[in-house]
Amino acid sequence: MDNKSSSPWVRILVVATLITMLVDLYLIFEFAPTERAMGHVQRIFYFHVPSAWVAFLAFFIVFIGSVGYLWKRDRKYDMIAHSAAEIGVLFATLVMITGPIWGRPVWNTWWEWSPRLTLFLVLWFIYIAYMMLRSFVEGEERSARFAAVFGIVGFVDVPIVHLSIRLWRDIHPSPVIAGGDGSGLHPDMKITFFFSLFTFTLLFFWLLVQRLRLEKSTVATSELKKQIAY
Amino acid sequence: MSAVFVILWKDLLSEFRTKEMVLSMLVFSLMVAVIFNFSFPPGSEFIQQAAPGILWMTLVFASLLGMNRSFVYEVDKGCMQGLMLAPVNRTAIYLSKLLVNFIFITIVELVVLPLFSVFFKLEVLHVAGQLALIMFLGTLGFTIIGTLFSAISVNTKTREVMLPILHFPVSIPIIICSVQATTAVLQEQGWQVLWGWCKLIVVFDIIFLIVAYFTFEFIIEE
Amino acid sequence: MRKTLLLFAILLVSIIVVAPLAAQTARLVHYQGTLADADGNKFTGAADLQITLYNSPRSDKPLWSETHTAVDVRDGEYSVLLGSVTPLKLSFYEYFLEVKTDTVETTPGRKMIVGSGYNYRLWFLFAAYTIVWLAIFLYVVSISRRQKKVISDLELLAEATQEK
Repeated sequence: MDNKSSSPWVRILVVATLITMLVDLYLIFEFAPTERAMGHVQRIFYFHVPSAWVAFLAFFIVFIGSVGYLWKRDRKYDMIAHSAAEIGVLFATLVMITGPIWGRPVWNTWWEWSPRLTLFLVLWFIYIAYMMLRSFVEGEERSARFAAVFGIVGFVDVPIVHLSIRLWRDIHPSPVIAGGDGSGLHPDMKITFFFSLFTFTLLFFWLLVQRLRLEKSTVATSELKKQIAY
Repeated sequence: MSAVFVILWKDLLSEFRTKEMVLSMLVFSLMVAVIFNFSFPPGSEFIQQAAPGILWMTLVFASLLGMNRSFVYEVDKGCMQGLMLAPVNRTAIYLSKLLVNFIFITIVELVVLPLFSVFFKLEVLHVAGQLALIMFLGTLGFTIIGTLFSAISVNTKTREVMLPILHFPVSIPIIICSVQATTAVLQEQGWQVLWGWCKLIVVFDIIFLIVAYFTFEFIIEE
Repeated sequence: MRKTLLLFAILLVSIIVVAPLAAQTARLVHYQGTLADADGNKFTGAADLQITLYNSPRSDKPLWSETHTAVDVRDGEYSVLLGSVTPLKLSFYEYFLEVKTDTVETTPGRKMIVGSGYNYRLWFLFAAYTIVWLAIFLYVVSISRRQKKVISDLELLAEATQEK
C-alpha cells in the first residue's frame, strides 16, 4: 500500500504544498498590509475565503465523482467522491468557524443571516447529510449508489438555494455590512489572497491524495474480508 | 404510462381500505398547528405574520411522516421485487409513488388549510386561487424530493430519521419560496411579488423532476 | 507519518510567528479624562488616580486596576497610559472604566470604553488561525491513524489467508 505514496508526483505535491504554505504564512502575516478599518482581524480573510473555495471545489468533485460512478460503475469514482466529501466538510466547517470569528469584531455579531453565510450553512448541512447517509447504509455498493444520487441532488440544489436566499434577503434587507470582499483590495492584498487560494488548492489536493490512499486500502481490506468469508 | 396508473391505483386502493397514511398525516398536522399556537403569547399580533411559516412547517413535517411510509410496505413485504420483476419502466414506479404522495398530501392540505385559517384567524377565501397555485407548486416540489429520498431512506438503518436529514437541507428553497409567496398573498403584495417566488419554485420543480427521473432507477436496482 | 510531523512543525513555527505579532501590539491604552469635584469645578494640580476596569456598569468585580500617582491635571483634564503601571492583559471588546481619587471629591460613575486600537481583534485572528491549522493537522493525523489500522487489518487478513 505504502509504495503508492512514493510516486514522484505525490512527492512533488507534498513538497510544493509545504513550501507554498510557508510562503503563504509570510505573505499573510508580514507582507500583506493591515487593513485600515478592520485591523489585523482582516487577515482571517486570507484563509476564510480560500477555505470556502476549497469547500466548493470539493463539492464539485463530489458531484463529478457521483455522476462518474452512476455512469461508469467504477468504484474509483465513488472513492474520489467520498474522499472529497469528507475534506469538503472539513473546510466548510472551517469556514463556518472562521466566519463568525471575523464577524464578531467587525460587524459586532457572531452570526448574520447574510446570503453567503446562509448559503454556506445550507451547503454544510447537505454534505453532513451526505456523510451520514454513507455511514447509515449497509452494503458498500448500495451506499455508493445512494450517496451518488444524493451527491448529484445536493450539488444541483446549491444554485437554487443561492437564488432563493438572495431573493429572501432582498425582501428583508439586513443592516448594511461593511466592505464586501474583493472591493478595492490593495495590490499586495490581492497577491496574498490569490497566493492563499493557490496554497489551499494544493493543500486540498494533497489531502485528497492522502484520503484516497486510505479509501483504497479500506476497500481492499473489505474485499479481502469478503473473500475469506466465502 | 398505463403502468403508472396501475401502481397508482394499487396504492390508492390499499390506502382507501386502511386510511392509515392520510389519517395519521391529518391528525399530526392539526396537532402541530395547535402546538405551534402555544409557542406565542396569547393574543399576539405576531402570530399572523408567522402563520405562513407555521403552515408550511406543519405541512412539511406531516408529509415527511407520510412519505416515510411510501416505500415501507414495498420493501418489508417484498412487494418491491414484484414491481421490479414486472415488465414496466422503473421510472414508472417513481412517477406513481410521486402521484400517490402528492394526492395524499393534497387531501391533507384541503382539510388542514380551512381549519388553519380558522385557528389563526386568516382571511383566505378571496385569495383561494392564488393559495391553491402556491400549494400545488410547493407540494409538488417537496414531494418530488421526498419520494426520491424516501426510496433511499427506507434502505438505511435509521429509516425515519434519515428522510428529514436528507430532505430538509435540499428543500430549503421550496420552504423559503412557499412561505414568502404565501405571505405575499396574505398581505396582498400583488401578482408581481407572487410570481417572483413562484418562478423559483417552478424552476426547482422542473430541475428536480428531471434529476429524480434519471437517478431513481439507480436507487431501486438491486 | 514523517509528513504529518512536518506539518506539525509548520504549525509550531507559524504560531511562533504570530506570537510576537500579538506581543508587539502593546497593550497600552491612551486615556484622556476629566476631573471635577461634585459641584463641577474643574481641578488643577496633581492627583492620585486609581483606575479600574469592569466588564459591566454594575459589576463589583474589577478586571484590572492600577494607580497612577501625582498625575498632572490642568483645567480638569489629564491623560494617562493605561497598562503602564500594571500590565493590561484584557482582550475584551468593551469594558467600563472607573476613576477614583482621594484628592478631590468626585461623583462616582463608569465610562464605557471600546477596545482601543486593534489589539483585542488580534485575538480573534489568532483564534481563527489556530483553529484552522489545528483542524487540518488533526485531520491529517486521523487519516494516518485510520490508514495504520487498515494496514494492520490487511496484514492480519493476509496471514489468515495463508493459514487457510
